[in-house]
Amino acid sequence: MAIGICPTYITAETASDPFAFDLSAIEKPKETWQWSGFVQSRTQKFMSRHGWLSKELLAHLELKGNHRQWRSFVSIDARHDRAKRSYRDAWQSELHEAYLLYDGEHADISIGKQRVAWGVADGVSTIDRLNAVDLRDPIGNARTASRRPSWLIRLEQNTVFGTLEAAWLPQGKDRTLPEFNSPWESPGLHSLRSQAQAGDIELSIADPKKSEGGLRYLYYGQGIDWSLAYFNGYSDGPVYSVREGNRITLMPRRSHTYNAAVAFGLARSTLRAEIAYTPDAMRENQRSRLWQAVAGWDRSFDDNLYANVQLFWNHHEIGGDEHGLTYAVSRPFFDDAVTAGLRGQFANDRQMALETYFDYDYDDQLKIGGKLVAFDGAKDSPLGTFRDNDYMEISLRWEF
Amino acid sequence: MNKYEIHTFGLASLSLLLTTLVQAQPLDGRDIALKMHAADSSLDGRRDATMLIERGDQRLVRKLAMLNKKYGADEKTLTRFVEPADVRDTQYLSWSYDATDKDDDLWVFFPSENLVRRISGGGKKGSFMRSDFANEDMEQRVVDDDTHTLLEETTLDGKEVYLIESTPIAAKARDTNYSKRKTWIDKKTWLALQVEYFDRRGRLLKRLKQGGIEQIDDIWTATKLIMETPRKKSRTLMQYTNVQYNVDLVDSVFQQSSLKR
Repeated sequence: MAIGICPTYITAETASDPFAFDLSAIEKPKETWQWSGFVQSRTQKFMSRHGWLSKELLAHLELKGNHRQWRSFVSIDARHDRAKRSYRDAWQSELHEAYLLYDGEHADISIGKQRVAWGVADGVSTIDRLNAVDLRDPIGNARTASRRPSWLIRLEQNTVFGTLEAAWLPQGKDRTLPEFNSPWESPGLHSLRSQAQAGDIELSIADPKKSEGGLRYLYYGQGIDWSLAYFNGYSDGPVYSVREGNRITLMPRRSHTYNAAVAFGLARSTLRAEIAYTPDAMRENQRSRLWQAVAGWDRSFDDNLYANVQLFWNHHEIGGDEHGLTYAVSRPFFDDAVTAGLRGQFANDRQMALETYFDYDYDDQLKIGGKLVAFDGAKDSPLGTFRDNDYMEISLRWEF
Repeated sequence: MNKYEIHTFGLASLSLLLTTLVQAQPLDGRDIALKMHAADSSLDGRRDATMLIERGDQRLVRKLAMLNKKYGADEKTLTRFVEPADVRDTQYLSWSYDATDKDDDLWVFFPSENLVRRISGGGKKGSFMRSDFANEDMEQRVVDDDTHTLLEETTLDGKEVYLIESTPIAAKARDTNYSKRKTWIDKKTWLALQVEYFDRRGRLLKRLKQGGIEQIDDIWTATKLIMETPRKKSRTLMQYTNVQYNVDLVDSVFQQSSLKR
């Protein structure tokens, strides 16, 4: 719960005793149970076409519990969108995260719906695969996809040699697909759905709901962190299709990814790199080996200017390679009340995503934000698909 | 007195004389800085901190929980943000090294992604959570990162103090906002009672006053701090509560695996 400033926080400050204040009068969060959240109004308007992407009111509530070595966390979202959209109901509610954690001295276990990020790279990661990209609203920002918490069991064992981590998703990731006619729907999927609506084909989209999981070994040390990871699971979206007559089935496919990652400090910078190998990725409806590499640099300069650049390269056995870079630059202004920046990515096939943004902290509760997001690229490329979706956003958030 | 006794007496007298001479040697700036640095003789500790930032009509509140443990001259610290809500449960873990040629290790934990991420130690000149404290003010400065000169022995608010001036060594001059610092150090507790920070042009930038001095677990501790930035007409009050020393924190507290929501 939010703190309240007691009007008598300065009880008897005088020129003779400047220390006669008592900040302990400011309300402390409860140790055992804490709840907090925010309400937000977010308006997104298309820039290159008519209409609103969203006019959303969101209420987000969180409840956190601490009892000895047990911790629990629940967050829920309720949203209402006033923009007239045929593809989505105005009212939406969702259990965002809900998990229980036992925090032992040498081993931890958590069970529930949670977000767990793996890998060291920003922007594009080769192993951040325990959570599916939210294909209904895929843009976390112009550089990073937004991901959905997964139902999973996670074990962590700490040893003197490092940390061993295992994650198991009994029903797999929480996958979503863009709705029919949504601006985030790919032209290929839209075309199939349109044909199905017209009765020309029978279309089914399968989600296997089978278990997925991964293992990771991490070592954090003086000057360097490194990890080895393995993931066995399905793609976030349908990447494989089966045609029988006029019946088409789309489905995700299972693959295995082996990953190594390293992050180390060099002078005042941090260098990050990941390599990954997937022997059974899907490409053009066939199995294809995939090699991936990400290498990046980031640094906070003395005046809090932050810069981050990462290069990525995907080499497919079948079809052409993908390569590009992601970037982020930001800096605080006006006693750090305002942060402004740029972030985005460039990739092959003239793909581009660019976000210009500012965040203004009016005070501890009220936050105001604005951004312009633009996309470009070949029509059939991942980012070019969204090239008509450029939008501007204004948001107002009150936190409690 | 036989020959042996004369010899022994002579040695004892010489020893006493040398001891007296050594004791009578006045402290120089570095000696005083070392004593101030050693005032916190604890092996580990925990404390909560509340900050109130007063800037014009604005009042901003920050709450932190801090743990530290010393490993010889090196130190590990864990800082958890409690308020405001948008940074709640964000945590910083740092491994700080006394050796001037060794960069500190720093990790941040983002609760929304359950992610532990190594970050660089840059940004030390920036503001700490929008307060009048800079990030560099929040950490114990290594004594030999500066040269220290005793300016005078004087009084401050009725207390006998040493006034020293600390100037960064050439290798560290670029790492700090300050061209020099003047510190008034209480002769009784070896705590800084006041610090004046000067910018690169030698102008007064900020003034820190420390009070609410208590002896906690036999260690003198300033529990109330006021950092003023006169040019901005801004100041930050900070108060430490629940201060405990030598609580025998286990090493695993300062491992990345302890970073959780």
